[in-house]
Amino acid sequence: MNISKRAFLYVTRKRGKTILLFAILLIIATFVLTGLSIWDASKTAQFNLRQSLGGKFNIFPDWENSPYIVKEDIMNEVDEETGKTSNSYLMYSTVQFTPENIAAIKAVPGIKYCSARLDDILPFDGISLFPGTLPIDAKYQGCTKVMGVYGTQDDLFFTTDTLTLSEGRHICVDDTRVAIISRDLAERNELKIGDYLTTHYYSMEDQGFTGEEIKLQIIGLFTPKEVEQFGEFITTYDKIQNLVFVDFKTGIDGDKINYGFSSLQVTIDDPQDIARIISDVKSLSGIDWKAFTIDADNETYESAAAPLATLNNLVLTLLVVIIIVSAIILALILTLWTKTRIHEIGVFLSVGIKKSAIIGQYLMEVLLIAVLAFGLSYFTSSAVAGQIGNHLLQQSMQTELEEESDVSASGAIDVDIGSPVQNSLPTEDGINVSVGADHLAQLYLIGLAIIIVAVSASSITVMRLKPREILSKMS
Amino acid sequence: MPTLELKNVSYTYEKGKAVLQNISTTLETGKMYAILGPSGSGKTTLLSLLGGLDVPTQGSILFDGKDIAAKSLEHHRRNHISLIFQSYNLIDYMTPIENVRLTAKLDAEPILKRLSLTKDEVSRNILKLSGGQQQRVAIARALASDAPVILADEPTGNLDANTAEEITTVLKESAHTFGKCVVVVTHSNEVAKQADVVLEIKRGHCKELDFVKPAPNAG
Repeated sequence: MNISKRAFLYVTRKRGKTILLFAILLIIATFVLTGLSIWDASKTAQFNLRQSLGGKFNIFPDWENSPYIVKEDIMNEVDEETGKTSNSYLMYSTVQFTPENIAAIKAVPGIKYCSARLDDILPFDGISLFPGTLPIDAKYQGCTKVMGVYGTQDDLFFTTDTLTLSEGRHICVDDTRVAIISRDLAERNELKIGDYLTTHYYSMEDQGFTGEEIKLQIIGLFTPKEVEQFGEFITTYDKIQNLVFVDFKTGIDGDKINYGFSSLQVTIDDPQDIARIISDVKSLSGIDWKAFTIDADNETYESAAAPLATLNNLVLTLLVVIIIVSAIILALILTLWTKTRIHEIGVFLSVGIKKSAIIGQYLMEVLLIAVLAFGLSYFTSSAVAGQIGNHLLQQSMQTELEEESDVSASGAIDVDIGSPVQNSLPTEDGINVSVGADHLAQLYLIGLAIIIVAVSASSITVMRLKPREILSKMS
Repeated sequence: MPTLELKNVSYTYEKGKAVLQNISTTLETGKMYAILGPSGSGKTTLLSLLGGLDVPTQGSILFDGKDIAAKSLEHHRRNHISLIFQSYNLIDYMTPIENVRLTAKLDAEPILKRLSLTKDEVSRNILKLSGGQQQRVAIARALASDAPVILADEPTGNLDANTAEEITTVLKESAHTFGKCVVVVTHSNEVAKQADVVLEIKRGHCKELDFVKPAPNAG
């Protein structure tokens, strides 16, 4: 008679013990499976949170320490009313990011977008702009903000859905003399894709927009998510509907200072990787880091992820405790039962059954019951996992809130224009805990390990006894 | 053809008490041996040594000319030996037929039938059989294992006189009909009378008795 048959007979004939062991294993399995599913849900929520929040860091000139900062006086103006003279100066870095530098930065693993802009103000011939509410200098009337970009697809306005390309295509780094304007501005001026805008660069000699004429072909139209409300204080050139995106070449051609981008806004996939990504970016060749400094903003992610991280640690600790305690309880119960089976062990040994085969039978008995108990635990865990998970999450959030009570307002999530954090965070809606087949597979593996440890520990008595000692105990 | 041969076998407990001293004898197939001796004389110890449940402190035990420890004692127990105990030592969660099949190399049913166990009895709860029936199951298990040697430790100790006689007859048949070497440790002269050879262990030494007479300290 083989091990399986003997184990099957024991399990089916010793029903009392079988039911008791089944109940114990069911409870253990429910705890482990619940822990596994909550742990997994917490990891998924953390991942979703990271994906949802993303991460960003800004690279800009190191105004204080860079040896490449230039400060030039550009104008001495006399105020007509007061008669006082005011000095205007221009401060800039002579080291800037070239499109090649940006391409290298974008190629760093984990970087999602690299937004780079050159701002200018230009008038466009025959274009009627949406009027602002703040008065502006006479020479800038009829002007609007022009953004020379590395690519609109990477631009923060578009990556954060503040603006959406509703028609046409994005501007890319290889484009020349192209523009994207708002659909509102196009409709206001009866413009469409393929039409041209005409402008002139600023002439220092003439102190006016009388420089080289430029014709820009409209290749796309954007729609803003929100426009400025009536009564808001804003200049004409700052109105979002008047915004004009142009290609990088157009952006620098009329510029006597810039040959590249002074600053970059880098968006990354996973805020958890921010330190590594910054390190990778800093190790890129061809960029003189004496000219730049990096400002990493990970606070939003860290404050939002803290309850999930706490939950994760809590569940992991609970899981480890459950597994250890389960193995100990099971080993104790099996040890007690083994002591009541000395007679049986003696009989088996006397008929030449090996000790390993006897322990194998015990293992098989527990496994037979465990297969059923673990299977049933799928339903019991499914019933409680969600509630327990969200209860633990609430506890974690409460703990975090208490720990951060002093910080209060500064701990709130600050949503800037262009920030992707527009929707509710995953933690606010709880976590979605569901028991899956993968968790069940993990349970079977963990359960197998627990059972092997427990059966081995409980069988030490059997292994140590000599057949004659067992027969003496029997008699 | 000798089956089991003891060569200068001695056994001393860990505390230093010598229980068996320099025993040499040969046990053959087709015969029933009875081992008599007072309590504590070392009868059961000798049976344990023959069964490979323990090892002699001196000397050796041979099975068909080879040391039983040469391969392993487990191998010896599994292939050469069948043990029968006073308390039957059946597995309580197995039916009689399942108990016999535990190590059976032969078909269990005819053997059980030959030992007068009905079809209903062989599939009954083992604990619901009488002592005699349980001992028959134990003997059936020994026979079904097809081991050439059956070692029985007080097999009739828990049975009434009539049943004891029946069991003794079955054991005798096992030797004579099935060609086994049956070694019975007993206090009973009635059992010893049925044996082909009677060995007495006294003060650690073993000697063959020419005829059966009541053992002085037999209980």
